[in-house]
Amino acid sequence: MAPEPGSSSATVMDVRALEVVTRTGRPIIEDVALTLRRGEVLAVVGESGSGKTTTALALLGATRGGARISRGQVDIGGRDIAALREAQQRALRGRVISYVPQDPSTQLNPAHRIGRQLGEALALVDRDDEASQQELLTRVNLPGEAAFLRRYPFELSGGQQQRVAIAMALAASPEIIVLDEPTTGLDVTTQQRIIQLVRELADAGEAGFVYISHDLALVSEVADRVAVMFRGKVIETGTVREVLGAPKHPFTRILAASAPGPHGVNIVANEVGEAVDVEASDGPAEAWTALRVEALPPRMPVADPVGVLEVRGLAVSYARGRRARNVLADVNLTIAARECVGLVGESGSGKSTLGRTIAGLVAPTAGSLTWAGHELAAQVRRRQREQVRGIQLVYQNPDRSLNPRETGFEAIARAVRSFDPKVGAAARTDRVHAAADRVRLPRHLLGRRPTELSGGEKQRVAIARALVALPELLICDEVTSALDVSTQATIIQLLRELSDEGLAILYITHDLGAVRSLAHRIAVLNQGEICEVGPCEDVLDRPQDPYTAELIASTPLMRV
Amino acid sequence: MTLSPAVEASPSPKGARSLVWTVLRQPQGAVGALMLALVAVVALIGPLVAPHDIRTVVGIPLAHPSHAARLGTDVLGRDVLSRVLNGGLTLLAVAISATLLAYLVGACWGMAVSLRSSALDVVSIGVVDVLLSLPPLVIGLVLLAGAGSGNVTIALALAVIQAPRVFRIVRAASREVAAQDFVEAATARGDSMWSVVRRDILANIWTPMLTDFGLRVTSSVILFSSLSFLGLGAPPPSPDWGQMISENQIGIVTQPWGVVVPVVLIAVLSVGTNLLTDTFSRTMNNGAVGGGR
Repeated sequence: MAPEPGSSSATVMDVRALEVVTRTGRPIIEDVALTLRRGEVLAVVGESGSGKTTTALALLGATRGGARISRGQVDIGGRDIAALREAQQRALRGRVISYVPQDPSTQLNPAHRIGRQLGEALALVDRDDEASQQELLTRVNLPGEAAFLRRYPFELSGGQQQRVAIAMALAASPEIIVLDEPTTGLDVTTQQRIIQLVRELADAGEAGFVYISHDLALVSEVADRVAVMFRGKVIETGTVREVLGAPKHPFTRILAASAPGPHGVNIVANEVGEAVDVEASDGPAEAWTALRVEALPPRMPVADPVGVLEVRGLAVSYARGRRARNVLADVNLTIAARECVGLVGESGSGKSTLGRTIAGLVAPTAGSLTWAGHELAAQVRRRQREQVRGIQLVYQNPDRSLNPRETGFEAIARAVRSFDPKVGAAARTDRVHAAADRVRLPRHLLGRRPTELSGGEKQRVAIARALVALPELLICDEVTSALDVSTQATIIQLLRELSDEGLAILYITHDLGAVRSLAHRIAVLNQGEICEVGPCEDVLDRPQDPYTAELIASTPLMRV
Repeated sequence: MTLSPAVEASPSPKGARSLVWTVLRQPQGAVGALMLALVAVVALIGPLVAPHDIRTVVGIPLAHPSHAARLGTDVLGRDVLSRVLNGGLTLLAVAISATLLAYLVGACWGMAVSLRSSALDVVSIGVVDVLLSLPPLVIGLVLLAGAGSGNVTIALALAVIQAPRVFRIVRAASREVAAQDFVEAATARGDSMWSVVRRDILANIWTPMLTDFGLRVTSSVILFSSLSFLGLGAPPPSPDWGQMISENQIGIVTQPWGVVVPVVLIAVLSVGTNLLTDTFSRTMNNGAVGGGR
């Protein structure tokens, strides 16, 4: 935790009564008030659609897709940026306020070397020489070497790219840096290093930071003050301690409680204990005072495990010959019937590859897969229909795994037809409805296309499509990572119910909190090798392997 | 068990009707449709209402418009109006059937390659690159010189010219879709290639395809006219607009109508097709139809 900002630090940004409306005049954000002092990190938190990014852009006087700033002031460096003309706004951007977007790979030009891109940013202050570029790199803890400047963005890791993006934002020494979800998509240890960097830069008084995020636990580690946004309004502001320690607004309470920590997932429940999807619930905020937050208790290992899937000595490598890269090496893993196994590791550890190999989408270079006592062919096309039906995969991002032109009904019905071509139309409809009911997707949503559904609803369609095949094993590849926290909890609750009903699940994730509330056993994957397997509690509370310990330590905790 | 209303409503016929309606309500779409309709009416009804036979000499060559020949006479003294009215059908039929044929071959090939092996893809790209490096008119010239002129041969030649271009567009568009997880999921489930192509690939690429189709018809019309202009079109005296431009260009100063009218009709056809297909694809992308929010 950073020290409380002293009253002596100067206010660098003062936002009052800011309102942004769409082309049709509907407000996206209303009456937003924020202040920021030099050396301070102000977090703006909220779920998707709460107006976080609109707010972030409005701080630069910018809007998207026909929207406009209709009211309010954004005082920056003594001037109201919202009232300035485009050319004058541009003069402030970069020099007084700068912006780091969510995905650094889209900000960096893939065709230019890092040095040139830093040079462009430095040109704002006429310091475009190699020494300045190198100095800038060292400020974000990157090697300030000439060789590094000659690299292209694709030669850097995601974390390094984000550091370069931050360096570009720092180049002209602005007073304010707006970071829009800067660590979303990075894995926990990289994320940890980025937030440390932001904290260091703030403590050194480099600038004031506005940190946009959906992750309250993360925010509690990096921010001095927090503003919670909900449906376009700031519903609560204060120091981290005030807001997260004693949340006043019911939504803040729900958000704080549903953030997964390493101690498990809390779900938001209504009076009768059913999980509630905050994102999808349309009622007035006051109705939530009736909602309760319930912790999902950890699970005990299954009694009398009967192995249904056995992975023996599995190895996978991409490319061949000298350029071969081993993704998995000698992986042994058994999943029992009715068991949920959590597979955790950083991105690049090979965990998705393992899931895809089991599903028959990646061919292993060595090793064997046994399913219910019979050898599984490497490729899904060579497997027996019964085996294909028995192992189903749910993908990470429903935006990619659902056909945008198909309604939920069509997507699920297609899977029914694939596995049961002879089933009649009426019976098919029944099975689609049964699958929708099983994932608690309201039936009236089945007629909608993915673009008309929320993230959680889309993922429910994807799960229903897998379940309608009546699998014995469901492979869930980071199924919650593209969802808001309150929604994540409801999906985990759903998977847990499915698991209780007897479905074996391989739950692939980097989220240790989620896995504690769901898995019977955990396997930790480090650079393609399983370094630790064991009951959930043992692995998370008494890790034997140093890598597991590091992974647990890097997970952001709600520190209040 | 009862169906919910949203599921019960079969979306396709109603969706298609409302799509056409939405397109026609936009000024661009309406103007495009009107221009196309004009050319279609001239081409289809024209032969029935033409005042003279296309071969009959009705006056002195390159005569100005008169009561007997409303648009004057051409370089051989034949009625320009009658030849214009007779010259559209062949042009439209050849251009559209050639484009359809090019799409049948190029699109199937492009989608198949995007879904299947990479070896076939590499070979196909090589072949297509060679074909694309040849100027279209040269391909047409060689094919027509070898096989002899005639409307069917011209249509085939145009299809040969267009198919590699269609392949490139469709391959690029469908590769993007084929890389998505829902395609992998369908393939892993064991859905047939035809089902994947129809429901996953075609359903997601037909907006760019439709725009491209419009552009291709236009370019087929222009290619056909160019071939006719070069004397490789259907043998005289059967008229087509490209051939008329070529024949009558010598008299353009004394009697411009024999050139201007076919030129204007070809231009109206091209612009109209583009306006209409553009509006179609924009409307579908905006999700104005089929239930966008």
